[in-house]
Amino acid sequence: MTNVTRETATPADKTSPAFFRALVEGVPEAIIVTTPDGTITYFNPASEKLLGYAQADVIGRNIVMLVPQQPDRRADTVKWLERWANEPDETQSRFLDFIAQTKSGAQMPVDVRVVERKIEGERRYFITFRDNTARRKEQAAFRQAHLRASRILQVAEDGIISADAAQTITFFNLKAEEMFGYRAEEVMGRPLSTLMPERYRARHKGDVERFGMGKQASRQMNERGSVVGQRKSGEEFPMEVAITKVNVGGALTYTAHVRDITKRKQRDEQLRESERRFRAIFEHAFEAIGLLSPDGTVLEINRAGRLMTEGASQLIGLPLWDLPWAGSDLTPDDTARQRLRSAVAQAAGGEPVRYTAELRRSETDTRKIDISLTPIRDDTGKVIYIVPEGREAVST
Amino acid sequence: MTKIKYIEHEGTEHVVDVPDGLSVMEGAVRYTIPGIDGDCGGSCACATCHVYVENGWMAKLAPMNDLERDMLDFAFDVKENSRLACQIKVNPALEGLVVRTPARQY
Repeated sequence: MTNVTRETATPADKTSPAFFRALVEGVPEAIIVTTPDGTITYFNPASEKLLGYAQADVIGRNIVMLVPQQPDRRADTVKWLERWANEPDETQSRFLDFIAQTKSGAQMPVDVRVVERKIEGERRYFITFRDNTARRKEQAAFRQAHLRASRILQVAEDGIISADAAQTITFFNLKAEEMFGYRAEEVMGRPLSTLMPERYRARHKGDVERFGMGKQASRQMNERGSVVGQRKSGEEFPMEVAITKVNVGGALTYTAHVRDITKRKQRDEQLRESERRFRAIFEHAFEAIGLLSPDGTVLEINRAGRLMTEGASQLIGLPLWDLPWAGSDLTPDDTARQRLRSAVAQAAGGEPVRYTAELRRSETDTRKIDISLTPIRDDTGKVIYIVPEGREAVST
Repeated sequence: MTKIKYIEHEGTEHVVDVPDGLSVMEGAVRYTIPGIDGDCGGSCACATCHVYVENGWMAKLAPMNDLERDMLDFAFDVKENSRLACQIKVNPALEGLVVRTPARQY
Protein backbone atom coordinates (compact mmCIF):
# COMPACT_ATOMS: atom_id res chain seq x y z
CA MET A 1 0.00 0.00 0.00
CA THR A 2 1.28 3.50 -0.84
CA ASN A 3 1.31 6.04 1.91
CA VAL A 4 -0.37 9.26 1.08
CA THR A 5 2.11 11.93 2.07
CA ARG A 6 1.32 15.42 3.20
CA GLU A 7 2.32 16.67 -0.24
CA THR A 8 0.17 14.30 -2.31
CA ALA A 9 -2.91 14.14 -0.07
CA THR A 10 -5.23 16.72 -1.41
CA PRO A 11 -8.29 17.74 0.58
CA ALA A 12 -10.34 15.89 -2.02
CA ASP A 13 -8.88 12.57 -0.84
CA LYS A 14 -10.53 13.06 2.51
CA THR A 15 -13.72 14.82 1.76
CA SER A 16 -14.87 14.47 -1.81
CA PRO A 17 -17.97 12.34 -2.42
CA ALA A 18 -16.12 10.82 -5.38
CA PHE A 19 -13.46 9.48 -3.04
CA PHE A 20 -15.97 7.80 -0.73
CA ARG A 21 -17.96 6.39 -3.59
CA ALA A 22 -14.82 4.94 -5.14
CA LEU A 23 -13.88 3.54 -1.73
CA VAL A 24 -17.08 1.62 -0.99
CA GLU A 25 -17.46 0.52 -4.58
CA GLY A 26 -13.84 -0.44 -5.00
CA VAL A 27 -12.96 -2.29 -1.78
CA PRO A 28 -12.88 -6.06 -2.14
CA GLU A 29 -15.23 -6.27 0.80
CA ALA A 30 -18.95 -6.98 0.56
CA ILE A 31 -20.94 -4.11 2.09
CA ILE A 32 -24.70 -3.91 2.58
CA VAL A 33 -26.60 -1.11 4.23
CA THR A 34 -30.07 -1.69 5.68
CA THR A 35 -32.65 0.09 7.74
CA PRO A 36 -33.14 -1.25 11.30
CA ASP A 37 -35.99 -3.45 10.05
CA GLY A 38 -33.68 -5.07 7.48
CA THR A 39 -34.71 -3.27 4.29
CA ILE A 40 -31.73 -3.09 1.95
CA THR A 41 -30.77 0.46 0.98
CA TYR A 42 -27.31 -0.15 -0.46
CA PHE A 43 -25.52 -3.13 -2.01
CA ASN A 44 -21.93 -2.62 -3.17
CA PRO A 45 -20.30 -4.27 -6.21
CA ALA A 46 -18.38 -6.76 -4.04
CA SER A 47 -21.74 -7.92 -2.63
CA GLU A 48 -23.10 -8.26 -6.17
CA LYS A 49 -20.11 -10.37 -7.07
CA LEU A 50 -20.33 -12.58 -3.99
CA LEU A 51 -24.09 -13.17 -4.03
CA GLY A 52 -24.83 -12.89 -7.74
CA TYR A 53 -27.62 -10.32 -7.34
CA ALA A 54 -27.60 -6.95 -9.07
CA GLN A 55 -28.33 -3.91 -6.90
CA ALA A 56 -31.70 -3.55 -8.57
CA ASP A 57 -32.65 -7.08 -7.49
CA VAL A 58 -32.29 -6.31 -3.81
CA ILE A 59 -32.70 -2.62 -3.06
CA GLY A 60 -35.91 -2.09 -1.12
CA ARG A 61 -36.25 -5.77 -0.20
CA ASN A 62 -35.58 -7.31 3.21
CA ILE A 63 -32.18 -8.76 3.93
CA VAL A 64 -33.76 -12.08 4.97
CA MET A 65 -34.07 -12.80 1.24
CA LEU A 66 -30.34 -13.46 1.36
CA VAL A 67 -30.71 -16.01 4.15
CA PRO A 68 -32.21 -19.40 3.32
CA GLN A 69 -35.01 -20.80 5.44
CA GLN A 70 -33.48 -23.38 7.77
CA PRO A 71 -36.17 -25.37 9.51
CA ASP A 72 -33.75 -26.79 12.12
CA ARG A 73 -32.12 -23.47 12.96
CA ARG A 74 -33.98 -20.55 14.41
CA ALA A 75 -31.56 -17.60 14.18
CA ASP A 76 -33.54 -14.46 13.36
CA THR A 77 -31.38 -12.44 10.98
CA VAL A 78 -32.80 -9.01 11.70
CA LYS A 79 -32.78 -9.54 15.45
CA TRP A 80 -29.13 -10.60 15.35
CA LEU A 81 -28.11 -7.67 13.16
CA GLU A 82 -29.71 -5.43 15.73
CA ARG A 83 -27.91 -7.19 18.53
CA TRP A 84 -24.53 -6.95 16.83
CA ALA A 85 -25.19 -3.31 15.99
CA ASN A 86 -25.99 -2.60 19.63
CA GLU A 87 -22.94 -4.41 20.92
CA PRO A 88 -20.27 -3.84 18.30
CA ASP A 89 -18.17 -6.47 20.03
CA GLU A 90 -16.12 -7.75 17.18
CA THR A 91 -15.21 -11.11 18.69
CA GLN A 92 -18.82 -12.28 18.61
CA SER A 93 -19.26 -12.62 14.90
CA ARG A 94 -16.03 -14.58 14.58
CA PHE A 95 -17.72 -17.70 15.90
CA LEU A 96 -21.22 -17.21 14.53
CA ASP A 97 -22.05 -17.73 10.90
CA PHE A 98 -25.13 -16.76 9.08
CA ILE A 99 -25.83 -18.90 6.09
CA ALA A 100 -26.19 -16.75 2.99
CA GLN A 101 -27.87 -17.80 -0.23
CA THR A 102 -26.76 -16.59 -3.64
CA LYS A 103 -29.10 -15.78 -6.48
CA SER A 104 -28.42 -19.21 -7.98
CA GLY A 105 -29.38 -20.88 -4.70
CA ALA A 106 -25.90 -21.82 -3.52
CA GLN A 107 -25.39 -21.51 0.24
CA MET A 108 -22.34 -20.36 2.12
CA PRO A 109 -21.52 -19.61 5.75
CA VAL A 110 -20.74 -15.92 6.09
CA ASP A 111 -18.85 -14.07 8.77
CA VAL A 112 -20.85 -10.90 9.44
CA ARG A 113 -19.95 -7.61 11.13
CA VAL A 114 -22.37 -4.80 11.67
CA VAL A 115 -22.34 -1.30 13.06
CA GLU A 116 -25.17 1.25 13.37
CA ARG A 117 -24.76 4.78 12.02
CA LYS A 118 -27.09 7.70 11.48
CA ILE A 119 -27.19 9.34 8.07
CA GLU A 120 -29.02 12.62 8.09
CA GLY A 121 -31.00 11.49 11.10
CA GLU A 122 -31.93 8.06 9.67
CA ARG A 123 -30.67 4.89 11.40
CA ARG A 124 -28.79 2.49 9.16
CA TYR A 125 -26.90 -0.78 9.69
CA PHE A 126 -23.58 -0.91 7.88
CA ILE A 127 -22.93 -4.58 7.31
CA THR A 128 -19.77 -6.22 6.00
CA PHE A 129 -19.62 -9.93 5.34
CA ARG A 130 -17.19 -12.52 4.06
CA ASP A 131 -17.53 -15.96 2.60
CA ASN A 132 -16.44 -18.26 5.41
CA THR A 133 -16.64 -21.54 3.48
CA ALA A 134 -12.89 -22.09 3.17
CA ARG A 135 -12.20 -21.36 6.83
CA ARG A 136 -15.05 -23.60 7.97
CA LYS A 137 -13.77 -26.40 5.74
CA GLU A 138 -10.27 -25.99 7.10
CA GLN A 139 -11.58 -26.06 10.64
CA ALA A 140 -13.64 -29.15 9.99
CA ALA A 141 -10.73 -30.93 8.28
CA PHE A 142 -8.40 -30.02 11.11
CA ARG A 143 -10.89 -31.13 13.73
CA GLN A 144 -11.51 -34.41 11.94
CA ALA A 145 -7.78 -35.08 11.54
CA HIS A 146 -7.26 -34.39 15.21
CA LEU A 147 -10.18 -36.55 16.23
CA ARG A 148 -9.12 -39.34 13.89
CA ALA A 149 -5.59 -39.36 15.30
CA SER A 150 -6.80 -39.38 18.89
CA ARG A 151 -9.37 -42.07 18.18
CA ILE A 152 -6.75 -44.27 16.46
CA LEU A 153 -4.58 -44.01 19.56
CA GLN A 154 -7.64 -44.56 21.74
CA VAL A 155 -8.46 -47.94 20.18
CA ALA A 156 -4.88 -49.11 19.45
CA GLU A 157 -4.00 -52.68 20.40
CA ASP A 158 -1.00 -51.49 22.42
CA GLY A 159 -1.46 -49.71 25.69
CA ILE A 160 -0.68 -46.07 24.88
CA ILE A 161 0.09 -43.67 27.68
CA SER A 162 1.25 -40.11 27.18
CA ALA A 163 2.77 -37.82 29.76
CA ASP A 164 3.97 -34.25 29.79
CA ALA A 165 7.50 -33.04 30.52
CA ALA A 166 6.84 -33.41 34.27
CA GLN A 167 5.83 -37.06 33.63
CA THR A 168 2.22 -36.42 34.51
CA ILE A 169 -0.17 -38.69 32.62
CA THR A 170 -2.11 -36.81 29.92
CA PHE A 171 -3.47 -39.66 27.79
CA PHE A 172 -4.42 -43.22 28.62
CA ASN A 173 -6.07 -45.33 25.95
CA LEU A 174 -8.58 -48.16 26.23
CA LYS A 175 -5.96 -50.92 26.07
CA ALA A 176 -4.03 -49.22 28.87
CA GLU A 177 -7.24 -49.12 30.90
CA GLU A 178 -7.70 -52.84 30.37
CA MET A 179 -4.07 -53.65 31.13
CA PHE A 180 -3.64 -51.57 34.26
CA GLY A 181 -7.21 -51.74 35.57
CA TYR A 182 -7.51 -47.96 35.87
CA ARG A 183 -9.97 -45.79 34.01
CA ALA A 184 -8.29 -42.96 32.13
CA GLU A 185 -9.73 -40.31 34.40
CA GLU A 186 -8.34 -42.06 37.49
CA VAL A 187 -4.76 -41.75 36.32
CA MET A 188 -4.78 -38.60 34.21
CA GLY A 189 -2.90 -35.95 36.14
CA ARG A 190 -1.07 -38.54 38.21
CA PRO A 191 2.65 -39.39 37.83
CA LEU A 192 3.62 -41.90 35.15
CA SER A 193 5.39 -43.95 37.81
CA THR A 194 1.99 -44.74 39.39
CA LEU A 195 1.94 -47.59 36.88
CA MET A 196 4.97 -49.39 38.31
CA PRO A 197 5.88 -50.95 41.63
CA GLU A 198 7.16 -48.56 44.29
CA ARG A 199 10.68 -50.00 44.24
CA TYR A 200 11.27 -49.02 40.59
CA ARG A 201 9.68 -45.59 40.61
CA ALA A 202 12.65 -43.36 41.42
CA ARG A 203 14.90 -45.11 38.92
CA HIS A 204 12.25 -45.07 36.24
CA LYS A 205 11.69 -41.33 36.61
CA GLY A 206 15.40 -40.75 36.09
CA ASP A 207 15.45 -43.07 33.06
CA VAL A 208 12.64 -41.14 31.41
CA GLU A 209 14.31 -37.81 32.21
CA ARG A 210 17.57 -38.95 30.63
CA PHE A 211 15.67 -40.17 27.60
CA GLY A 212 13.97 -36.75 27.42
CA MET A 213 17.33 -35.01 27.32
CA GLY A 214 18.90 -37.45 24.88
CA LYS A 215 18.97 -37.39 21.12
CA GLN A 216 17.00 -40.57 20.42
CA ALA A 217 13.35 -40.06 19.54
CA SER A 218 12.36 -43.55 20.65
CA ARG A 219 13.74 -46.32 22.78
CA GLN A 220 12.91 -49.84 23.89
CA MET A 221 12.80 -49.84 27.67
CA ASN A 222 13.52 -53.58 27.82
CA GLU A 223 17.18 -53.18 26.91
CA ARG A 224 18.10 -53.94 30.49
CA GLY A 225 15.71 -56.80 31.20
CA SER A 226 11.96 -56.82 31.36
CA VAL A 227 10.05 -53.88 32.76
CA VAL A 228 7.57 -54.52 35.54
CA GLY A 229 4.18 -52.83 35.62
CA GLN A 230 1.71 -52.66 38.44
CA ARG A 231 -2.02 -52.93 38.02
CA LYS A 232 -4.51 -51.03 40.15
CA SER A 233 -5.05 -54.25 42.11
CA GLY A 234 -1.35 -54.18 43.06
CA GLU A 235 -0.60 -57.21 40.87
CA GLU A 236 2.72 -56.93 39.03
CA PHE A 237 3.22 -58.02 35.45
CA PRO A 238 6.03 -58.10 32.87
CA MET A 239 5.75 -55.49 30.13
CA GLU A 240 7.45 -54.74 26.88
CA VAL A 241 7.71 -50.97 26.64
CA ALA A 242 8.83 -48.61 23.91
CA ILE A 243 8.97 -44.93 24.75
CA THR A 244 8.82 -42.08 22.28
CA LYS A 245 8.96 -38.33 22.64
CA VAL A 246 7.63 -35.53 20.51
CA ASN A 247 8.04 -31.82 20.89
CA VAL A 248 5.03 -29.88 19.68
CA GLY A 249 4.66 -26.16 20.24
CA GLY A 250 7.56 -26.23 22.67
CA ALA A 251 5.90 -28.83 24.89
CA LEU A 252 7.54 -32.21 25.37
CA THR A 253 5.26 -35.24 25.32
CA TYR A 254 6.40 -38.71 26.25
CA THR A 255 4.43 -41.68 25.01
CA ALA A 256 4.83 -45.21 26.29
CA HIS A 257 3.70 -48.07 24.04
CA VAL A 258 3.08 -50.98 26.35
CA ARG A 259 2.43 -54.67 25.90
CA ASP A 260 1.53 -57.04 28.67
CA ILE A 261 3.86 -60.00 28.05
CA THR A 262 2.61 -62.21 30.90
CA LYS A 263 1.20 -64.74 28.44
CA ARG A 264 4.25 -64.68 26.19
CA LYS A 265 6.49 -65.29 29.19
CA GLN A 266 4.30 -68.19 30.27
CA ARG A 267 4.47 -69.70 26.78
CA ASP A 268 8.25 -69.29 26.68
CA GLU A 269 8.52 -71.00 30.03
CA GLN A 270 6.26 -73.85 28.88
CA LEU A 271 8.41 -74.30 25.79
CA ARG A 272 11.58 -74.33 27.85
CA GLU A 273 10.08 -76.89 30.21
CA SER A 274 9.01 -79.07 27.30
CA GLU A 275 12.50 -78.80 25.81
CA ARG A 276 14.05 -79.79 29.17
CA ARG A 277 11.84 -82.89 29.37
CA PHE A 278 12.45 -84.15 25.85
CA ARG A 279 16.15 -83.46 26.06
CA ALA A 280 16.29 -85.48 29.27
CA ILE A 281 14.69 -88.46 27.55
CA PHE A 282 16.91 -88.09 24.50
CA GLU A 283 20.15 -87.56 26.36
CA HIS A 284 19.66 -90.33 28.85
CA ALA A 285 18.35 -93.03 26.52
CA PHE A 286 20.32 -96.26 26.64
CA GLU A 287 20.47 -96.45 22.87
CA ALA A 288 22.54 -94.22 20.66
CA ILE A 289 20.11 -91.81 19.07
CA GLY A 290 20.68 -88.87 16.78
CA LEU A 291 18.96 -86.56 14.36
CA LEU A 292 20.13 -86.12 10.77
CA SER A 293 19.18 -83.82 7.97
CA PRO A 294 18.09 -85.80 4.86
CA ASP A 295 21.61 -85.46 3.42
CA GLY A 296 22.97 -87.33 6.44
CA THR A 297 24.48 -84.42 8.34
CA VAL A 298 24.39 -84.93 12.10
CA LEU A 299 22.19 -82.31 13.80
CA GLU A 300 21.92 -83.89 17.23
CA ILE A 301 23.52 -86.86 18.89
CA ASN A 302 22.85 -88.14 22.39
CA ARG A 303 25.19 -89.23 25.12
CA ALA A 304 25.09 -92.94 24.22
CA GLY A 305 25.88 -91.94 20.65
CA ARG A 306 28.81 -89.83 21.73
CA LEU A 307 30.15 -92.72 23.82
CA MET A 308 30.09 -94.97 20.75
CA THR A 309 32.26 -92.53 18.89
CA GLU A 310 35.03 -93.02 21.40
CA GLY A 311 35.57 -89.46 22.37
CA ALA A 312 35.67 -87.66 19.04
CA SER A 313 35.17 -84.03 19.95
CA GLN A 314 33.26 -82.55 16.99
CA LEU A 315 30.36 -84.61 15.65
CA ILE A 316 27.63 -82.15 14.81
CA GLY A 317 27.80 -81.06 11.17
CA LEU A 318 29.62 -84.15 9.90
CA PRO A 319 27.98 -86.78 7.69
CA LEU A 320 26.92 -89.74 9.81
CA TRP A 321 29.13 -92.16 7.88
CA ASP A 322 32.22 -90.09 8.57
CA LEU A 323 31.92 -90.48 12.33
CA PRO A 324 34.58 -92.68 13.81
CA TRP A 325 32.05 -95.08 15.32
CA ALA A 326 31.14 -96.24 11.87
CA GLY A 327 34.60 -97.76 12.00
CA SER A 328 35.57 -96.55 8.59
CA ASP A 329 39.14 -95.91 9.40
CA LEU A 330 39.33 -99.16 11.30
CA THR A 331 38.37 -101.32 8.39
CA PRO A 332 40.74 -102.04 5.57
CA ASP A 333 38.05 -101.47 2.98
CA ASP A 334 35.29 -98.90 2.86
CA THR A 335 32.39 -101.36 3.00
CA ALA A 336 30.83 -100.33 6.30
CA ARG A 337 30.95 -96.66 5.42
CA GLN A 338 29.41 -97.20 2.00
CA ARG A 339 26.69 -99.41 3.49
CA LEU A 340 25.73 -96.71 6.01
CA ARG A 341 25.78 -94.02 3.37
CA SER A 342 23.42 -95.88 1.08
CA ALA A 343 21.15 -96.68 4.05
CA VAL A 344 20.91 -92.93 4.82
CA ALA A 345 20.06 -92.21 1.17
CA GLN A 346 17.36 -94.87 1.30
CA ALA A 347 15.87 -93.34 4.46
CA ALA A 348 16.06 -89.89 2.88
CA GLY A 349 13.95 -91.39 0.09
CA GLY A 350 11.29 -92.12 2.67
CA GLU A 351 11.97 -95.76 3.44
CA PRO A 352 12.80 -96.93 6.96
CA VAL A 353 16.01 -98.99 7.06
CA ARG A 354 17.18 -101.60 9.53
CA TYR A 355 20.32 -103.68 9.31
CA THR A 356 23.15 -105.05 11.34
CA ALA A 357 26.50 -103.49 10.72
CA GLU A 358 29.71 -105.23 11.51
CA LEU A 359 32.53 -103.13 12.82
CA ARG A 360 35.88 -104.80 12.74
CA ARG A 361 38.61 -103.30 14.82
CA SER A 362 40.96 -106.14 14.16
CA GLU A 363 40.88 -109.66 12.93
CA THR A 364 39.79 -110.76 16.40
CA ASP A 365 37.64 -107.81 17.57
CA THR A 366 34.34 -107.59 15.73
CA ARG A 367 31.28 -105.77 17.02
CA LYS A 368 27.82 -106.02 15.61
CA ILE A 369 25.57 -102.98 15.77
CA ASP A 370 21.84 -102.99 15.02
CA ILE A 371 21.17 -99.83 13.09
CA SER A 372 17.83 -98.30 12.23
CA LEU A 373 17.16 -95.16 10.23
CA THR A 374 13.67 -93.72 10.45
CA PRO A 375 12.57 -90.96 8.05
CA ILE A 376 10.56 -88.13 9.64
CA ARG A 377 8.14 -86.29 7.40
CA ASP A 378 6.60 -82.84 7.60
CA ASP A 379 2.90 -82.09 7.02
CA THR A 380 3.34 -82.26 3.25
CA GLY A 381 4.97 -85.69 3.40
CA LYS A 382 8.47 -84.44 2.63
CA VAL A 383 11.30 -86.09 4.59
CA ILE A 384 12.85 -83.41 6.77
CA TYR A 385 14.84 -85.46 9.29
CA ILE A 386 16.20 -88.94 9.74
CA VAL A 387 16.42 -90.46 13.20
CA PRO A 388 19.35 -92.90 13.38
CA GLU A 389 19.47 -95.36 16.26
CA GLY A 390 22.19 -97.80 17.08
CA ARG A 391 22.55 -100.51 19.67
CA GLU A 392 25.12 -103.19 20.17
CA ALA A 393 23.66 -106.45 18.93
CA VAL A 394 23.48 -109.16 21.53
CA SER A 395 26.08 -111.65 20.37
CA THR A 396 24.92 -115.20 20.04
CA MET B 1 -14.56 -34.90 40.51
CA THR B 2 -18.12 -35.38 39.34
CA LYS B 3 -19.28 -38.20 37.11
CA ILE B 4 -20.78 -37.05 33.82
CA LYS B 5 -22.11 -39.31 31.10
CA TYR B 6 -21.80 -38.08 27.50
CA ILE B 7 -23.79 -39.99 24.90
CA GLU B 8 -22.87 -39.48 21.25
CA HIS B 9 -25.76 -39.05 18.85
CA GLU B 10 -25.26 -42.56 17.50
CA GLY B 11 -25.27 -44.04 21.00
CA THR B 12 -21.66 -44.39 22.17
CA GLU B 13 -21.45 -43.61 25.88
CA HIS B 14 -18.53 -42.01 27.71
CA VAL B 15 -18.64 -41.88 31.49
CA VAL B 16 -15.91 -39.62 32.84
CA ASP B 17 -14.99 -37.85 36.05
CA VAL B 18 -14.85 -34.14 35.38
CA PRO B 19 -13.06 -31.92 37.91
CA ASP B 20 -15.48 -29.58 39.67
CA GLY B 21 -15.30 -26.04 38.36
CA LEU B 22 -14.74 -27.06 34.74
CA SER B 23 -17.62 -26.77 32.32
CA VAL B 24 -19.30 -29.77 30.72
CA MET B 25 -17.72 -28.59 27.43
CA GLU B 26 -14.23 -28.56 28.95
CA GLY B 27 -14.84 -32.04 30.38
CA ALA B 28 -15.60 -33.32 26.87
CA VAL B 29 -12.48 -31.72 25.42
CA ARG B 30 -10.33 -33.20 28.21
CA TYR B 31 -11.41 -36.72 27.29
CA THR B 32 -11.52 -36.18 23.48
CA ILE B 33 -15.22 -36.94 23.40
CA PRO B 34 -16.50 -36.34 19.86
CA GLY B 35 -19.48 -34.12 19.07
CA ILE B 36 -18.67 -31.11 21.24
CA ASP B 37 -16.53 -28.55 19.45
CA GLY B 38 -16.32 -25.48 21.64
CA ASP B 39 -15.08 -23.15 18.88
CA CYS B 40 -15.02 -19.98 20.98
CA GLY B 41 -13.27 -21.66 23.89
CA GLY B 42 -16.13 -21.35 26.35
CA SER B 43 -17.04 -17.67 26.25
CA CYS B 44 -20.62 -18.30 25.13
CA ALA B 45 -19.84 -16.69 21.78
CA CYS B 46 -20.74 -19.62 19.55
CA ALA B 47 -23.14 -22.52 19.53
CA THR B 48 -20.76 -25.40 18.85
CA CYS B 49 -21.03 -27.04 22.27
CA HIS B 50 -24.77 -27.58 21.96
CA VAL B 51 -25.99 -30.59 23.98
CA TYR B 52 -29.30 -32.14 24.99
CA VAL B 53 -29.68 -32.55 28.73
CA GLU B 54 -31.18 -35.90 29.70
CA ASN B 55 -34.59 -36.13 31.36
CA GLY B 56 -34.87 -34.74 34.84
CA TRP B 57 -31.55 -32.92 34.84
CA MET B 58 -32.69 -29.68 33.23
CA ALA B 59 -34.26 -28.45 36.51
CA LYS B 60 -31.07 -29.12 38.49
CA LEU B 61 -28.93 -26.88 36.29
CA ALA B 62 -28.43 -23.18 36.89
CA PRO B 63 -30.95 -21.43 34.63
CA MET B 64 -29.99 -20.20 31.20
CA ASN B 65 -29.11 -16.53 30.86
CA ASP B 66 -30.22 -14.44 27.89
CA LEU B 67 -26.88 -14.67 26.14
CA GLU B 68 -26.93 -18.46 26.14
CA ARG B 69 -30.57 -18.51 25.01
CA ASP B 70 -29.71 -16.16 22.16
CA MET B 71 -26.61 -18.08 21.22
CA LEU B 72 -28.66 -21.26 20.91
CA ASP B 73 -30.32 -19.54 17.91
CA PHE B 74 -27.27 -20.57 15.97
CA ALA B 75 -27.41 -24.22 17.01
CA PHE B 76 -29.11 -26.80 14.82
CA ASP B 77 -32.22 -28.70 15.86
CA VAL B 78 -32.74 -26.92 19.18
CA LYS B 79 -35.15 -28.60 21.58
CA GLU B 80 -36.66 -27.94 25.02
CA ASN B 81 -33.66 -29.59 26.68
CA SER B 82 -30.96 -27.85 24.64
CA ARG B 83 -28.11 -26.15 26.49
CA LEU B 84 -24.63 -24.93 25.69
CA ALA B 85 -22.19 -27.23 27.49
CA CYS B 86 -19.78 -24.36 28.19
CA GLN B 87 -22.42 -22.73 30.38
CA ILE B 88 -22.93 -25.77 32.63
CA LYS B 89 -20.39 -25.61 35.43
CA VAL B 90 -19.63 -28.97 36.99
CA ASN B 91 -20.25 -29.30 40.73
CA PRO B 92 -20.97 -32.24 43.04
CA ALA B 93 -24.74 -31.68 42.74
CA LEU B 94 -24.45 -32.77 39.10
CA GLU B 95 -23.09 -36.23 39.95
CA GLY B 96 -24.50 -38.56 37.30
CA LEU B 97 -25.52 -35.84 34.83
CA VAL B 98 -26.28 -37.21 31.37
CA VAL B 99 -25.92 -35.13 28.20
CA ARG B 100 -26.37 -36.15 24.58
CA THR B 101 -24.52 -34.58 21.65
CA PRO B 102 -26.45 -33.51 18.53
CA ALA B 103 -25.81 -34.86 15.05
CA ARG B 104 -24.08 -31.65 13.97
CA GLN B 105 -22.68 -28.51 15.56
CA TYR B 106 -22.56 -26.45 12.36
